[in-house]
Amino acid sequence: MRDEFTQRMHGSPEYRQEQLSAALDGMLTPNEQAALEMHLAGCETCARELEELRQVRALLRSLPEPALPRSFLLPIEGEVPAPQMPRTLVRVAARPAPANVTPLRQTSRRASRTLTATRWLGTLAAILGLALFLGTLLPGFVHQDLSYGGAAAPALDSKGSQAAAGRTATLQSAPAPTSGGENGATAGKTATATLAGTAPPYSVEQTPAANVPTTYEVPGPQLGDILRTVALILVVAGVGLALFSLIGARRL
Amino acid sequence: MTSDARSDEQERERGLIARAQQGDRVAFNALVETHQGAAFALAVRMLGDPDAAADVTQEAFFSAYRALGTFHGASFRAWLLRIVSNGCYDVFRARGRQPVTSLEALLEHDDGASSSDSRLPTMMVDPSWSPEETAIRGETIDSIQAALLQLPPEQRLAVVLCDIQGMAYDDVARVMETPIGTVKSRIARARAQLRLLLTRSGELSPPAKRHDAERSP
Repeated sequence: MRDEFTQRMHGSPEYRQEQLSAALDGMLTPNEQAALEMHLAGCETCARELEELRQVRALLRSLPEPALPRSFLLPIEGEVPAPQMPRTLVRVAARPAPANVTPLRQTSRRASRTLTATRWLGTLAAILGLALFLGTLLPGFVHQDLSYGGAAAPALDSKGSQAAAGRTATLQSAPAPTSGGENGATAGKTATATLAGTAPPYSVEQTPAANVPTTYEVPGPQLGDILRTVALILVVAGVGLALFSLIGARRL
Repeated sequence: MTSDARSDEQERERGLIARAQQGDRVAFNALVETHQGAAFALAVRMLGDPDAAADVTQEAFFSAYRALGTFHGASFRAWLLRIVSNGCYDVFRARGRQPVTSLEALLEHDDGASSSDSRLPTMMVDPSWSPEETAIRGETIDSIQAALLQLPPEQRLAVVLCDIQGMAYDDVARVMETPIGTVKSRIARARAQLRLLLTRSGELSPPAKRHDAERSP
C-alpha cells in the first residue's frame, strides 16, 4: 500500500503536485492525509517540496492589497457610461456562461454542426420512409401500371424496378443499375438484403427477368411487403438518428 | 459572535443589493466601497499593470450596475470578481497575445523575470513600512508579481483567488465557473510553477541538495 502510494507520488508529477497542494489547504480526505504523512516521514524530497510550497503560499499571502489609484464610486446622477472596449462583460454578467475556454467552444461548435447535419439527415430519411410507406397503402398500387399512377407513382416506379433489378444484381453479381439516383440505389440495396434473407424460392428462379415487365409478375402483396419493410426501416432509422442527435445537442 | 457579525454583514449586503436593483446608486456605491479593494487587487495581480487594472475595475462596476437585475446568486463578491476576471481576459485578447510561454523557456531566460519589474509602481508598497523594509519588501513583491505574470491566465486566476484573495476552493470554482477538481489542479500547477520561478529568483530558501550538487564537482 505504501509502495503503491510512493510509486504514484514519484511516478506522476501532476499527482504529486495535486496531493501536496491539496494537503496545504487541508483538502485531502483522511485516508489520503494518512498515506501522505506516512510517505513524507520517509521521503525527504517530497517533504522539502511541501515545505517550499508552503513558503510560496506564505509569500503570496504576504502581498499587500494595492492602494486604490482612485475611487470607483458611480456618479449619483446622470448616465452610467457604457463599456468603452468591445467587451463581453455585460453579456457574461447577464447570462453566466462557461469560462473563456476558446478550444472547448470551437470543439462544441464543430460537434453541434455535425449534430445538426445528422438531425436533418435523420428527419429526411424518416419523411422519405413515411411517404414510401403511405404510398404502398394506396389502393391498387401494386396492381396498376406504375408508370400510369398519380403523383407518387414515378418515385415508386423507380423504387420498384430498383428492387427487382437489385435482386438480379445479387444473383448475377452485376453492378446495380443507376436509374433511380442516390435514394433509389440505397433502397435497392436494402431491398436486395431483405430479399436475400426472406424471399421464397420461386423469386430466385426468375433469374433472367431483369426488365421492368417481370416486376409486375411478382405477386402484388410481396412487393408491397418489401417496400413497406424498407419504408419502416427508413422511418425507424431516421427517427432514431434525429433523436440521437437531439440528445447529443442537449448534452453539449 | 463572529458568525453573528458575518450574518449581519450578509443581511446588510442583501439589503443593499435589493435597493441597488431598484436603481438606488447610493446603495450600489456602498457595495462598491466594500468590494473595490478586492476587485482592483484581482485586476492588478492578473494584469500586472495598475492603469489597465483601474480601467477594468471601473468598467466592471459599470457592468455590474447595469446587469445587477440578473444577479440572483449567493455571493455578490464571486459574481463581481467573475466580471473583473472577464475584463482581464478581454485585455489579454486586446493585447493580441496571451503570456503562454512555457516554463522551460522562462527558466532559460533568467533575467526576464526581474527586468519586467521596473514598471511596477511603488503604489503596491505599504506606506507604513520603513524605507529599508520598503526596499526589501518591494523587491520581493516585484518578484512575486513577475512570477505570477508568467503563469497561464487560468492558473494565475485560480492561485490569485485562492492564495491572495483568500477564497475557499468552492468560491474559486464559483468565480471561474469550473468544477472544484479543475480548481484544485489549477492551483496545484500554479503553485508548482511559482515554486520553480521563485526559487530561481531567490525568493525561496534554496534546497540543501542544490548546494551539495554545486560543491561536489
